[in-house]
Amino acid sequence: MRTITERYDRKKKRDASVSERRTSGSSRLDTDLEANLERIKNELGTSPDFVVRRFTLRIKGELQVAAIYIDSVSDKDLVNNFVIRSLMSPSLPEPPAGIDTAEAAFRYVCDNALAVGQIEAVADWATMTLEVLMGKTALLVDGWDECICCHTIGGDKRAVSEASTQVVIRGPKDSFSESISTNIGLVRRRIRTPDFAFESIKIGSITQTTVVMMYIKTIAKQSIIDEVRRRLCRIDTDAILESGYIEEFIEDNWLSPFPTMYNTERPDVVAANLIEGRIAIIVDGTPFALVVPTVLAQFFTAPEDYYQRYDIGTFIRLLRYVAFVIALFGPAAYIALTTFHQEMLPTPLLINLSGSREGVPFPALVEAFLMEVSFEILREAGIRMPRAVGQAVSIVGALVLGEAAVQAGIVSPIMVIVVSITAIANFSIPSYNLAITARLLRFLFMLAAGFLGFYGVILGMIMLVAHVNSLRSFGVAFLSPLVPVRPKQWKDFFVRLPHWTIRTRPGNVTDQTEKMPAGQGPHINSDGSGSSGNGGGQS
Amino acid sequence: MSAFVHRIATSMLVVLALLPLLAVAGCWNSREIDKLAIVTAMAIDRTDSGDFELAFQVVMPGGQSHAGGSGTEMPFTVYGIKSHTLFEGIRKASKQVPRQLFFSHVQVVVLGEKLAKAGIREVFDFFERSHEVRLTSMLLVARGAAPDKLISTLVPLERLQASAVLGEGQLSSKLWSEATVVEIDDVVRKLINPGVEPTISGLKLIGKDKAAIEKQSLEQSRPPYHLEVSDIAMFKEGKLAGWFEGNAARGLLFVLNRIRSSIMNLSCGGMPDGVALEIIKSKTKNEVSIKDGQLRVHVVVNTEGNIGEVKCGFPLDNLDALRGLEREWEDAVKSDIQLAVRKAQQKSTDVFGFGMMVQRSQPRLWKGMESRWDKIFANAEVNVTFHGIIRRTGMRGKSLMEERDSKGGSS
Repeated sequence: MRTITERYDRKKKRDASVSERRTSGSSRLDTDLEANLERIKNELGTSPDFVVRRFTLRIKGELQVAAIYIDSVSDKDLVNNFVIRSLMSPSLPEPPAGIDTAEAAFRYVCDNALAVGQIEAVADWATMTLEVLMGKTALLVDGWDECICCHTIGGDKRAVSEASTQVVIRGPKDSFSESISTNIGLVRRRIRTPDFAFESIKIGSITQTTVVMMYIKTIAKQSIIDEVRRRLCRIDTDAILESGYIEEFIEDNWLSPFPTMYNTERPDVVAANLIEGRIAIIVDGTPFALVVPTVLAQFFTAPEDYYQRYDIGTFIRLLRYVAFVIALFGPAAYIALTTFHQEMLPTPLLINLSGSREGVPFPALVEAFLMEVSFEILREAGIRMPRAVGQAVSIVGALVLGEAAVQAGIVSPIMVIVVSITAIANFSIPSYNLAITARLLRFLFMLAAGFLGFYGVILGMIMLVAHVNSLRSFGVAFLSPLVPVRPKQWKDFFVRLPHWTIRTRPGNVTDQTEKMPAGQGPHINSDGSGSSGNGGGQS
Repeated sequence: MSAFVHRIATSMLVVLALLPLLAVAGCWNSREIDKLAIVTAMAIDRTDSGDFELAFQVVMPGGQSHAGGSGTEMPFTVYGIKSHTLFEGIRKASKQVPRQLFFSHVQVVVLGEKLAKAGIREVFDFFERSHEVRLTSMLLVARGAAPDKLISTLVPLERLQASAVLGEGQLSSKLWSEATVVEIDDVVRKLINPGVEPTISGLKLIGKDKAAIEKQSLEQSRPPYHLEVSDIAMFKEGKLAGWFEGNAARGLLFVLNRIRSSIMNLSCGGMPDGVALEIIKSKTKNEVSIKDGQLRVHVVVNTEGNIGEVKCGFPLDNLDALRGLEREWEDAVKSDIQLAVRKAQQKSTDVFGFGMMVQRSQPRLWKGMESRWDKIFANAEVNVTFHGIIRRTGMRGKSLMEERDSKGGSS
C-alpha cells in the first residue's frame, strides 16, 4: 500500500499539536521506560481494555521491556503467542556478542525476536499512540527512545455473510463486512493481477478511519485517479463513520437529488466495476463501498443481469426503467388525468373513475398526498420497527387502514391502486439511493400535476432532464453514453447483449477499451460440430 | 468571487423565467372528476319558433354497477333546455345542473327530424369551433320520435343509452351493413364539399314509447320497446330529403364502399329466399366520365361470399349451380344499387359523391357544371359491373334436404 505522505504529514502535525495540548510532553518518546509508561498511563490508563505487560529480556543482562496494547481491538492470540511468548521464551537465540547498548538490543529484538509479520520502529509519540489505538502492540525498550509496533490488529468482527441489500438468485452470495481487511480480501480474491493498486489514507482527526481507494493501474484513467485522490485528501473532518460521509464530501453536485456515486456491499460488483476502469473506495467500519465515476444507467443494473442469460437480463433491465417511470410519474399522471385531462381517458374508464371518486371529500391532489405521505410513514415504520412488531404494523397499516379508508370514503379505490403500484415500482429499482430520489421527486411532480396538469408534469420533466444532463461524476457525463451519444457503448445499456459481443470497456470511464478479440461467440462449424471458434480472431 | 456572482445571476434569471408561470397557475382549468357532469349523448331539435331544443344525457356516477355504486340508481339522467344558440344552451343549462357539463365524452349526437328538415348546417359550426366537444361522436337522425325522448330511453345490457346505440351502430355496420357509423366530421366534410351530400343513419324507437323512460320496464325480461339503428337519411343542401331503407340502404353502402359484411338471400329452386349468402369481403370502385353533358358512372363491385344456409336441396358440389347462384347474386346486388341510385336521383341529391369524383378528375369541366349538377346527376347513367365469387359453403357439404330429396327420388 502506498501512503499518501503529504496529507499524512499534515495530519500528524495537527495530531501532535492536539496531544501536546493534552499532555505536556514532547512529541518524541523518552529514553526512560518508566517515563514513557507513566505518560501513556496518563493518556489511556483508565480504560479497562488497556494492557501494559512488563517483563525482562535476558539479553544484555536484564533489559526492561513493556508491551502495551488494547485488548479489545487487537488479536489476543497474536499478542500472547507471537509477541510476548516469543520474547520470553528461553529458546531465544543467543545474541551475538557485542550487544552492549540499548540500541543494539532494540535492533536485535526487531530483527530476531518477533514472530509477527509486520513490524515497524516508531519514535513519534503521537504515532505510537495512534498505532496502539488501532490495535497494534507497542514494545517499549528501556534506554532507547523508539518503540516497535507489531501488527496485531484484530478484535471482534462480523463474519462474511449474504448481502442484505442487493440480493441475487444466481451469483456469489458473499458480501462486505465492517472489517476493511476482510473487504479488501474479498475483492482481491476476484482480481489476481499485480496491476491491482491500493492507496490508503486515514481520514478523521478523531476516528482516524482507514479509507482505501482501489483501481487497476492499467485500466483506470490517470486523471480520474488523481481527482479522486485529490478530493479524498481535501477532507478534513473529525469523524468518518460510514462511506456516506465520504460521499457527501467528494460528490460533484451536492444540490442534486440524484446520487452521483454508486454504493454496493457486493465484492463482485466492485470487482466488475474495477475491471471496467472505475475506482472503488472502501471505508473501514462499513460494508458499503463507493464506486466512481458513476453514470445513471449503473443504478438500473443489478449484478444478476450479468449472471442470467442476456435476453432475460435485458427484459428485466427494461422493466426497471419502466418501473422508474411509474415510480416517478404514477400519482402525478393520476392527478393530471383526473383533474385536468378527463378527455384523454377512455369513456368507460372515466365513468368508472367518476363512480369511484363519488363522495371523496378531497381534491385529487390532496387525496394523493394523503395516501402517499401515509404510505411513506408506513414504510419508514416498517424499516425501523423491531422485526417482531414490523409485521403487525404492515398488516394494520396496509390492509386495515387502506381498506377502512376506502370504506369510509376518504380515498377512492383507484388511488389505493395507484399508490400501491407506485410503491411496488419503487421497490423494484435495484439501487436504494436512486429509489429514494424517485420517492422525493414524486412529490414535486404531484405538485406540478396538481397545479398545471400534464403541462406542469412536462415542464418538470424538461427541468429534470436538463438537470440530469448537467450532472457530472468525476468528469464523466451522468447520462453517458446516451448524452453524449455513443452508440458503441449501448451494448450494455438499456439492453445487455451477450458477453462475447461486448468487446470493449465503456469508453466514458477508461481509455483502455480493448477487452477481448473478435470471434468469441459460440460458433457451429459447417460440419456440425460445435467449437468455441476463436481461431480467426486471435491477435 | 465572479463565479459566485455568476451563480446568483443565473439563479435570478431562472426565478425570473419561472415568474410568468405563476400567472398561468392557480389551478388553471382544473376540475375535479366529481364536479363534472359527464355528457354521453346529446339531442338537438328545433322548436316551431325556430329555437334549439337541447337535451343532455348525463351519467349518474353512482348508477354504474361496476363502479362501486349500488346499481339501483338510475344509470343516467336527462336535462333539457331551449335556447337560440347551442353554446347559449350549454351554458344556460348550468341553471339546472349542479355540476359542470362535460362534453368531451359525447358519444352520440341525435338530431331531430324537425331540425333535419329545416337544415342541419347551422348546428355544426359550434361543433367545429368549440374545444369542449369532440368531432368523432356518432351522429344519428331521430326517426319518428323526438330526439330527447330517444336519449332518455332506458336500455338493457348497457347501462347507458349512448353506449348501447354506439354498439348497435358499430355492430350493425360490421355485420349487417344497412346503417353505418357516421361521425360529425364526416358530415361536416360532406356539407362543405359541393360535389357530395351527407348521409346519416337513423335511430328509431319501436314499441311502447311511454314505457321507455320508466325503470320498471327494465325489470321485465322483455322490455316493451327497443331502440334500433336503421335506415339512412339523405340530405339535400343540408335539409333532410328522404330515407334509404332496407335494400336501398345496402345499395347505397355498396356504392360508397362501406359494405363490410352482410347477408343476402337468393332464390333456391322454386323458393325465393332459399339460400343465405354471407358477404365476407367487398370493394367498390367508381369511375365517372362525362360525354356530351351526360354523366356516366361505372360502379365496379368486387366481392366474395360464403354460403351460410340452404333451405332446399341445392347441389352445392355442382360448380355450374354455384355459377348460377353467383349470377343471381349479381342481379340482386345490381338491383339494390339501381334502387339506391334511383332514389337519390328522384331527389337529385348526390349522396354518392359522383360530383366530387368529377371535380377531382376533371376540375375544369366541373366548374362549368357545378351550378347544373343537380340536373346532371338526376339524369346520370349508372352501370354496374359485378365480380362475385363464392368461396366456401360452410362446414357441411351437401344439404340435409338434398340427401332426403335424392333418397326420396330413388325409392
